Amino acid sequence: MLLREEIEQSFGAGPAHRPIEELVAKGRRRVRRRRAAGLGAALATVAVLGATYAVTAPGSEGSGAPPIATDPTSTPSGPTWEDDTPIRYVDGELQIRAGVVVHEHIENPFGYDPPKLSDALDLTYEGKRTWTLAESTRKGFGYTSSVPSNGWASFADWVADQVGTAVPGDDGWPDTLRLTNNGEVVASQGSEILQRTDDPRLGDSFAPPGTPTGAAVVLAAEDGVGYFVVWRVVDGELDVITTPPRDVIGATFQQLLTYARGQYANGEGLR
Amino acid sequence: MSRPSRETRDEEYAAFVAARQTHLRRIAYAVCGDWHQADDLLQTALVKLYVAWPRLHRDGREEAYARRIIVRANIDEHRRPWRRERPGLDGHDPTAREELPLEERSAMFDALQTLPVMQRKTVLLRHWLGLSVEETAHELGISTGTVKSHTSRGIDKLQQALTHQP
Repeated sequence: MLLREEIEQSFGAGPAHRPIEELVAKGRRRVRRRRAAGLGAALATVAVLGATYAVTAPGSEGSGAPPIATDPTSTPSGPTWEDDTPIRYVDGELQIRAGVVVHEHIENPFGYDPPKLSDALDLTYEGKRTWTLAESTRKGFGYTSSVPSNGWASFADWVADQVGTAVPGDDGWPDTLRLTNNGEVVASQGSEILQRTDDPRLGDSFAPPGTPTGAAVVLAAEDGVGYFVVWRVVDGELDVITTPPRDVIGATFQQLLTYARGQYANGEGLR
Repeated sequence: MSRPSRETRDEEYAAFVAARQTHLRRIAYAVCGDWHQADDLLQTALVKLYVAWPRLHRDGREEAYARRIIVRANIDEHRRPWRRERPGLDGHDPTAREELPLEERSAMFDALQTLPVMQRKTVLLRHWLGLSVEETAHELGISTGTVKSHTSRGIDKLQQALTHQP
């Protein structure tokens, strides 16, 4: 008998498996944690850049179901509305800016426990329809939005996808880098930085001047694959953007840097 | 960019797990020799797989990814059952082996479990799963030369152990 067959037949299939639903639930929780962490980092960056939160592409106007809430012409109470956001949290409550029309509202899509808050809204603000996901955590206010129907069948599908997966381009990429207590960016445990440059000059759209940034090709311990990554350290948080391996095959490090600069110069980015 | 909904992702993932979890857990068991630890290894691998599902499923690398997590895991040698005290005296009490858990374990399996971890892993990957030297090296994150030496020594020890079976 061949060794392969001998090994194959040398033991059985074992006891019953755990329910698959249990695995799915654990997977969802893990994704949600990663998603929340990614969202927080991305939004902190927006705040530092001082950019507006408005979406960049025009949305459809007046489509879909009738609005469930129309605002108000009056501005909600609380501090002056300084940011260009259609919603905000004040004292643990969601506030909707004057003039915003809410078509659909899903409360607490992340399933947070107080005092953390989250809301998803299909809304029209300043003539633009957007799907919006916001959260309030100890890290502050987080906010992301998308043009409606941009690849998703419905608002509910979009929310489910945002909650169930990490930020675009970051869902499930292996850990490659970590931030030390000294503020240094180094390879995560078991990973290896093959090439690296700090301050790769990716432009102000990537990070404002003075922000620690870098780019590297890292061999990830998790799957043994080399990834081209760029990073920025904002408010003490490391934000790593990973590109798919197939996008880097055959390219030199300089070519990758040139590609990354172009992506951030044209506003598309690498996510 | 269009991405699958969470329902689609869950359905695809659940179908994969249903189809492959037995095979993957057998790999884990062959590596660690303990069904409980194999269950833990499998769960760790499958939860990570869920997180990475969109890109792995897109690239058709689901099984390779889960398997790599399993075979690269650090095995807790203290939980390995053959290190526990056995009733009877090996070699003198022929009933001792029969009193092991009802796992259909054979002399071959027990011999495999006597190998040092890396020798066991390379033998399993090369001679059971049929991976090439290069694939085994990639899977374990070691050099091809190390794969060859571990495999060679592992096979030698396996043959010795089987030869000396009571």
